[in-house]
Amino acid sequence: MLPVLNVGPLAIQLPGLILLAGIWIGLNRIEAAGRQRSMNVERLSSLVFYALLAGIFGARLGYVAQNLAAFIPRPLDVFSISAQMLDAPTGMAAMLLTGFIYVQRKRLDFWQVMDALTPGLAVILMALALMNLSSGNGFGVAARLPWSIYLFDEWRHPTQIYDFIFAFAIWRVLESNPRDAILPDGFRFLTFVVLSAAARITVDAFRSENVLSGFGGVRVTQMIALLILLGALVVMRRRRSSYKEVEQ
Amino acid sequence: MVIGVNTTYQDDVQEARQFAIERGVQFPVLYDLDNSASRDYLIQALPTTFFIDHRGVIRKVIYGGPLTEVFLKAEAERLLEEAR
Repeated sequence: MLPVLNVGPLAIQLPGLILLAGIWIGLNRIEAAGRQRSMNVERLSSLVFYALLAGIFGARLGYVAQNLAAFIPRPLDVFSISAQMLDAPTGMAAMLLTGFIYVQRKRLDFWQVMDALTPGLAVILMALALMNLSSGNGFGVAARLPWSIYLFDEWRHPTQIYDFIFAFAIWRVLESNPRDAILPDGFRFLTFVVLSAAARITVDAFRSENVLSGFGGVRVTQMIALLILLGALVVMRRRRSSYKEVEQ
Repeated sequence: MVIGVNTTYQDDVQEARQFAIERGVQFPVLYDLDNSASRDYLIQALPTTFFIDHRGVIRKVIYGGPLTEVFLKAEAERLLEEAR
């Protein structure tokens, strides 16, 4: 865990820096994937920009909505510059909605866009794992294993490292798929969704901070990931069938 | 409950006490004289804020500051709500 990098008098917040680097590298990978597919790279970049902007606003609005009582006496604090007052799920929803509206308005091919975004998403997934390793978030349950890490007064499963290994493997699989040219549009993205949901189900079994669902030791995030995985498999199956019909 | 911990091993008890009085600190301030609390909590930057729930689980760690009053209230309120 290294949340702050002290360089001389400067105290650099490493998790934020890792995330920014991840987004920057991810954007480069998205542009490269767009060029490879002869897509309008400028439109892809605009899509990512608007989606990120909407994500930040959405995340703040989500946080305010969930903590309304705290904001009522100080309404102007809604606009305070603070990276902490963000709600990730709402931000994600706002990002997806804005992206979807942009794709519709500019009449872009939805599945082609999702395929072009996939390498960037895989890079950001790796950055998120490293970010958590740096900040200590998403820590594992206590376990005395040869590869355990010492965190918050306990030897624990290094869940952030598990996350990174899975994310790296997913990125390698997606970036080295030579059959991509003959796959239906959207398959690269759906493969990413299936693999990352499977990774979530696996790693969350060792995470300490997630809420249990009430079904034994199964966590809420694992159940959501399972539903997403099954949904993605169904869409894959449908797209494969319609692709075969078009080919015939 | 809010508890402040002063990293007294790199500070001075008298100065820390004076600082708390000058700032009108309303919560208890503990003195980490031998670095044990800072070591156990892996303190790398000051201030570091830990949000600990009613089970004793660290739910959020914030490095650096300052933190807004509304953020502190919102996070504390959420943890208290869970404990009810």
